[in-house]
Amino acid sequence: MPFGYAPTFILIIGFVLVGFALEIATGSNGFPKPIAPLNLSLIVIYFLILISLNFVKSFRKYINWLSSITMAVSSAIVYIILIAIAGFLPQGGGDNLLQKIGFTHMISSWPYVFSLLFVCTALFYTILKKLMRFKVKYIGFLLRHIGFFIILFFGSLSVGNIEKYNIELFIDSPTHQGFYFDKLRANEIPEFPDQKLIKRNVSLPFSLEMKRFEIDNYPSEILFYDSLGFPVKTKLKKEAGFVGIDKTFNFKDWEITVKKYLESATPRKDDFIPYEIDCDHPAFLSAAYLKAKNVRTKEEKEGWVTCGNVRSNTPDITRMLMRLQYYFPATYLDIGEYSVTIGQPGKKRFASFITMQNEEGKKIEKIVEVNKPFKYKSWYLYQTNCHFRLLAPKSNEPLRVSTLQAVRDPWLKVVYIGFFMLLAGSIHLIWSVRKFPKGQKK
Amino acid sequence: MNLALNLVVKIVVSLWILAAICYYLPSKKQYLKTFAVIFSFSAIIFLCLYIVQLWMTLERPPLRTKGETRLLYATLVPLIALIIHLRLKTYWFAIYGQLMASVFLITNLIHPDYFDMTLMPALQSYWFVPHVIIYMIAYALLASTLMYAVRGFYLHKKGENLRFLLIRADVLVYLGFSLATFGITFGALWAKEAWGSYWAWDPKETWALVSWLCYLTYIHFRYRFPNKQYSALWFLIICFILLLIGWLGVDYMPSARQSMHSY
Repeated sequence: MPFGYAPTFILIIGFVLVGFALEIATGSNGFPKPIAPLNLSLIVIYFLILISLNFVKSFRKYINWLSSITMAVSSAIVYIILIAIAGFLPQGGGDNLLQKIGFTHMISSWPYVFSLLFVCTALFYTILKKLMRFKVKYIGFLLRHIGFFIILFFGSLSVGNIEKYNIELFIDSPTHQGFYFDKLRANEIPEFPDQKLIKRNVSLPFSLEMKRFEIDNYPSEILFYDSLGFPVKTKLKKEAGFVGIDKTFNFKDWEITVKKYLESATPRKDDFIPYEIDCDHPAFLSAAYLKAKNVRTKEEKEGWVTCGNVRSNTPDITRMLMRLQYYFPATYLDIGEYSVTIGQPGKKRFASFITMQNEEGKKIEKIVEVNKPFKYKSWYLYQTNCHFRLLAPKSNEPLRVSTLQAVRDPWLKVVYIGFFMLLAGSIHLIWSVRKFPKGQKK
Repeated sequence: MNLALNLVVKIVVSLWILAAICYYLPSKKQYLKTFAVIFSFSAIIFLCLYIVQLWMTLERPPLRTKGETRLLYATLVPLIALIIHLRLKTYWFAIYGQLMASVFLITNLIHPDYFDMTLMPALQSYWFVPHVIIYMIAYALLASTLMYAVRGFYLHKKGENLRFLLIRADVLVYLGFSLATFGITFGALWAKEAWGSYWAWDPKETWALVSWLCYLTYIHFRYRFPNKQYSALWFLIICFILLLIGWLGVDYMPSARQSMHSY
């Protein structure tokens, strides 16, 4: 073998340093996204070079080195360091030295690409070496290594081909328009200072219409605050954190009973009445009538408490407008030096009932919800978000918006083959453990 | 009966202390060792009962928050340590496992960051339980290798050969690493279903990959240099630190605000 550990490390780190230099030289734009047919040609060229080098006799010793554990360990360590940086520092922004050398976009940076290339090449020649001297007992080894190679190599090169578009749906309003955010190009005029991203629309090969939207929520939880307004952690939640009619909670010397509970309510004079609206509607309010009794002093208190309706999942400007129109603050019931109220209920499930019309005019009805995407040909449709929007000042009612995401990844099947090969190889690895020497019993 | 956490922890830790006393009593009586196993096993049964009860009261699998994963971990580590102890007759191993689990249980007493009954929509998936349980078993196995590493340093100081100790550690690394492969892959398949991409370089994913790759490198290192025993011990320690960072430390990093995995 031509090189030991130290020279191998130096060589890989040298390439990584060149990568950092390239980052600075190319204006910190990172490695260009490999879009088809560029990525296909890169794959063909890469394989052709590696395979032909394998047949060059004078290069044989270098191939032995590239397929050695020395290379595997060295390249893996450098790769680990680079991705650890990506895991440590926030990715995707900044305007400082870290950004200039690629630390804030590590996964698309030149040093990362160089280090990945070393790992992939080491894997490639290791696999080739085993394939050329194939034996049945190598199957587990090959499954693991080929699987990992496919995931790393094809997974990385497919990035440029993944299509991901957001679609905003409004009730009974069909659309075939998706959008995504892209970097502002050099010839484009920014709409506002420091604009980096621009919204681009695309036409999808199908249209979507939302017929209905459903949202379920969890009940509110009982919350306690001290005299300074800080939340007091209790062990109450363990048994039953949720508010329910006739439920009793014990807190310090107080016994709190829920007399009335309106999951969705609206204020009426000094009282609250039921008001059926979705839990993410800006006017949504949960209210409970609580009765508190001090078991020591026999002091009694009762009254309505509400969670208030300032929601945090709508864009700032909309929230501000909504606050003016719907604002109702959280209310508390004072119990000695503490106070009690109920919290904002969490979202449990949300689903869009959609009708898709494809290019041939065929209509398909489907429910899309989180974790239950709708697969249409090579497209996957995901339920990603939902909120209410005030579109124009004259519209009195906030508009329900459901955001879906349409994703197409032409390389998905290839990468999945890699996943399943890796899993099969792992089962083999578990099985192989029985061959380990038993050792001394001590 | 409704088990309270502090009661469970008291009972479990007491049982483990009793087990440790039985192991190390300077008596050759075999029934003491059997008692020790019974005490250790009873403690694990208690923890299992508590997890089942938690599942029922929360009406969802208790695998969501850090506190909950710590609880599962505190059950699995001593269980695996006990199985290894029964297989290999390594008494010290079960004790180490129980010691480690006690630390996690006491952490839970101080920070019981669970009991929240809500499960956000993205977590309501059939992948949730297998993904977390497989990962926790993998973590428990890999934690056991840390116990071998600690023991290894002690034996190294005494001038003993570490060959057999490291072979046993390797077995656990192979098992833990294979299960971590399943955990990471199940996570990827789940992510594809929930968010549209199987890999998003979320800080949690990245750190899971870092620790997975580190164990992968350890396996290659051991294969190439079976005689570099002292370095292998350090390697195991580093791998485990990276694993802990991925599990518990990501929330404290500058990148944490981008993580979808903060819980």
